[in-house]
Amino acid sequence: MFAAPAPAAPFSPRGPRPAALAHAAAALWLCAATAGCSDPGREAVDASASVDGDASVDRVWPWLAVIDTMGFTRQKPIGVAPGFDLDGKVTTKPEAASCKKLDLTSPDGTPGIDNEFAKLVPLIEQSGIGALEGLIQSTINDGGIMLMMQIDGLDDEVNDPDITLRVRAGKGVPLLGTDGLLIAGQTFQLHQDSPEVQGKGHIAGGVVLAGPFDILLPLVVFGVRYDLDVRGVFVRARLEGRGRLVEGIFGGAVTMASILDIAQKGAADQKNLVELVTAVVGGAGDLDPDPKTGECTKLSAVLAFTSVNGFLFEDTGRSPRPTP
Amino acid sequence: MMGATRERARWGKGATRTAPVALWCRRWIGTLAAALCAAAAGCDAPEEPKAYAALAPPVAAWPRLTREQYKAVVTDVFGDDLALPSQLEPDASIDGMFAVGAAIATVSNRGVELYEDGARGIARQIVEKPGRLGDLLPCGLGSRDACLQALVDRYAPRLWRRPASAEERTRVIAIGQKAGTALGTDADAMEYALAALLQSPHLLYRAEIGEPDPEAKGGLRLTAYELAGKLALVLGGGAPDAELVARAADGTLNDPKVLRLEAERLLKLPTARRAVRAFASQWLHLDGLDGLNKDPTIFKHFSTDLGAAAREETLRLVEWLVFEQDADMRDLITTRTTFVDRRLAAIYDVPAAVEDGFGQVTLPASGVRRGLLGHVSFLASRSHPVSSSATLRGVFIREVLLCEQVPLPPSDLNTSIPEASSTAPTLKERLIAHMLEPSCNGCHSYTDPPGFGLENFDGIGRYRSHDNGALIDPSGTIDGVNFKNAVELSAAIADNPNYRKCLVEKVWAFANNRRPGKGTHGTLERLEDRFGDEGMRLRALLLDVVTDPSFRRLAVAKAAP
Repeated sequence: MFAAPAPAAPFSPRGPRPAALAHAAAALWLCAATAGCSDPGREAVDASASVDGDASVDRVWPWLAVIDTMGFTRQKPIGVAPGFDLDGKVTTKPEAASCKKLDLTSPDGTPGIDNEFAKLVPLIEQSGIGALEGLIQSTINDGGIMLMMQIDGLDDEVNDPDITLRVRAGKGVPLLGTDGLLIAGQTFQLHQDSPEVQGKGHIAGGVVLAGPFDILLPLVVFGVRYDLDVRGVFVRARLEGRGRLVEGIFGGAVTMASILDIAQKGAADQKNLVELVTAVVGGAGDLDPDPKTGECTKLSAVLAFTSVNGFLFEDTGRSPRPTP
Repeated sequence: MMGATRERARWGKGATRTAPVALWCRRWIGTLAAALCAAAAGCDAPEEPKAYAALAPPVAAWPRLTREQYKAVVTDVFGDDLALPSQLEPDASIDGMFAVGAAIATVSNRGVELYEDGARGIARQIVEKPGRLGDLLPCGLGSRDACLQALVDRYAPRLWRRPASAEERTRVIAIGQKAGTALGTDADAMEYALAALLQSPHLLYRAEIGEPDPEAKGGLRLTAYELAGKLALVLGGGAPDAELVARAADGTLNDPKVLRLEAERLLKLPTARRAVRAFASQWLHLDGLDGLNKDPTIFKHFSTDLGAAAREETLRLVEWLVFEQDADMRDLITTRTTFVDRRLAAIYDVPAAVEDGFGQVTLPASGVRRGLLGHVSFLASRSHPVSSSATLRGVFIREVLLCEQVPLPPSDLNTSIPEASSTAPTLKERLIAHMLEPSCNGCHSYTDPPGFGLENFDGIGRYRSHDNGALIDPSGTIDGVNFKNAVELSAAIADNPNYRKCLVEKVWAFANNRRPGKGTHGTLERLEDRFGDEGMRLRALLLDVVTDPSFRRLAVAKAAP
C-alpha cells in the first residue's frame, strides 16, 4: 500500500506538481471535527521485552532528523512567503496556467514562489479551524505524523555539493519533553509502510536544499490513517550538529481531488465539513490546469518545520521488540 | 574490555600490581610453592603471612527488618500475589544504609498499628484464596486445634526464622481458637493465628541472643537458627528456604564448611539478585530517586518517572556485573555497558536497544560517559534542581565510594558561590573563586575537584561541552592523580585503594547491620586482602563476609551496673 507513487518525471514547467501539505492540513482539519476517533494505529507494547542487544563499539549511527514542530507558512507581508518555485516560472500576471494565481516572493527576495496555501491560511483561521496547527502538533506528539529525514553521503556539514536526503516515516509513541515536544536523542521505530524516497541535493553555507521527489506518507490522525500523496517536494533547512534540521521548510503539491478524498474520509457522515473544505480549498489550485475545464488540479503549499536528532531501531541492527 | 579489566583486578593488596600468576601461586600453593614459582616464573618473593588484629565481636543488636525485607519474607512464604501493605514504619538510615539503621530502629505506636493492620490484611488474603493453606483450610487434619498447631509448625520456622517455642505455639493457637469460637469458622481461626505470626516481634526483629561459642572461650555465637535467618536476609533478602531451615534444625549450619556450602547455594538462587539489589540500592543511595525533581523549564528530558528508571539502570548494571559477568567491581565505575530505557537512552544520546523496558547498550568509546559516574542516578541526584553541582558529586565520591569523611559546613558559613561573570562563567571557575575564601577552601578543595571531572554532565546527566557559554574544562586532581575528563576520573576512582576498602566496609556493614568498629579492623583488612586476591568480585566478597567469624560471633553483653 505504501509503495512510492509512480516515479515523477523531472520537474517541468509543463507538468506542475500540486503542493502537498494542504493535503495533510485538510486531513487534520477534517479529522479534528470527527469526534470519538479511536487509535488503532497504536501498537500494543510488549512488556516482556527482554534485556539483550549488543551495541557495536563506536558505530557511526546515521544521522536522523525527526520533525518535532510543523506549521503553516504565511504571507508576511502580503505577497511574501517562504517556499519554492515549483513550476519553474515566475507568474506576475494572471495566467491560465496558474489559474490566475500570482506567485509570491520569498523573504530573501526570490521571485516565483509557489505557496498558494499561504494565502488560504487567514481564511482557514477565520473559518474557525484556526486550531489546525495545534492539531498538527498534537498529532506529531502522538506519533501520527512522524517524518524523518536522513542525509546520506555527507562529507562536509557546511558545504557539500552532493548529498542525498532520504525521507522516511516512523511509528509508535514518541517521548515528549517538559516543553511538550519530542525530546532529542530518542530512538524511533520505522513504519512498516515507510516510503523509501530520496532526493538529491547539496549543502551550501550550512543550508541543505534537496528535491524534487514524490512521496506517499502515512499519517494517523485520531486513529484514522491517511496516505498523503505529495509531489515535487523540496526541502530546505539549516543543518545543525548531529543531523538536526532547523528553520526548515517543506514544500510540494497535492491534487485537489485527493484533498477532497481525504476530506470525505475524515468527515465521515458530516457532509457540512466536506462542503466547508470545498469552500475553503476549492478553486484555490494554482498548478496543473485541466485542459478541458481549465481548473487547476493541484495546490502548492509549504510548511515550516524544526526537528530533533534521533536514532532508528532498524539502524541499530536490533529489533525493538526481540522475540521472547 | 571486561576481560582486560578482570585481568587487571587479580592483584592482592600490597602486591603492587604484580602478575596475576604470582597471586595464584601465593594463594593456592603456599609459601614454599610460591618460592619455587618465583624461581620458575619470575614471581615475587614470598611474603611473611600477614597478621591481622583479632576480632572483638560486637554486642547483640536485634536489627529490625527493613520494609522491603518484611515484604520479601511474606512473599517468600506465601507467594507474590498478595497485596502487601503500602505503609509500614519507615526505615532508619545510617550512612544511607537501612541495614545499618535497622540496628537502632524502633517501632512507634503508629508503626505498631501499621504492622497490625498489615498483618491482618495479609492474613485475610491468605485465607480468602482457596488452597493457599493446603490441607489446613479447609481443615483436613481432623480438628481445628490440629490445623492451628500445624499452621504454627509449618510457618513459624520461615516467618520467625526459628520454630515457635511450646509457649509461643500455645499462645498463637489460643488466639486462633478464640477467634474461631467467636466468629464461627476455621477460616477466622486461621486468619487470626496467621495475623499473630505476621505481627510478631519475632518476625519483625532478627534475633541475636546467641549461644556459647566453642571456638571462642567465653564468647558467644549466633545459634544455628539465628545464623540461618541472618544468612537468608543477607544473601536472599527474605525468609530462609526449607533447606536452610533444615541445616539450622540439624545444627550443622554452625559448621564453617556447611555454612560455606549453604552460602554458595543461596548465592545461586534467584533471591540472591534481590539481596544484591538491596545492597546496591543502599550503598549507592538509590532510594531517594523516586523524589527526583528538576526544573522542567531547564531540563526538557526530565519526567516524573525518570528517578525510578535511573535507579533501575544502576541496579540492572550491578546485577549484570555480579551475576552475569562475575566482574571486578571496579567495572561498575569504568564500564561502557549499561541498561537503559528509551528516555535514558535519549539522555545519553545513544540508540535504545528496546522500545519498551530496559535494554543493554554500550556507550561510545569516544564519549566521556563511563559506569556509575555517568549514570543519571548519580549525576541527577547529586545536582541541584536547576544546575549541576561539582560539590555534591564530589561529596558522594568521597563519602560513598571512598568512605572518607566530609565535615558538615559550619552553620554560619556563607555557602553561596559567586555569580557567573565574564571572568568566571562556568561552575568550575565560580567554585574555584569560592575556594579562595579561607573558610571555604578546606572542604571545597577536597570535595569539588572530583566533581569538576563530571562538569560535562548537566544537572540531569546530559552531556554538554559548554557551561554558560564557556567551554568546560573537566580536568582536575584526586588524591594526587591527575585526570583530564570523566573517563580518567572514573579510572582514578576505580583504582583508588579506598574504593576497594570502602566497598568491603559497606558489604560488611550491610551484612552485619553495623558500622565497622575498632574491633573489626583486622577482620576488614583480611576481607579486603581476600577481596583483592579474588579479583574484587562481589559474590566472592559476600561469601567471605558471611563465612567470616565476624558474621556469627557476638560479644557477651556486660551486666548493667
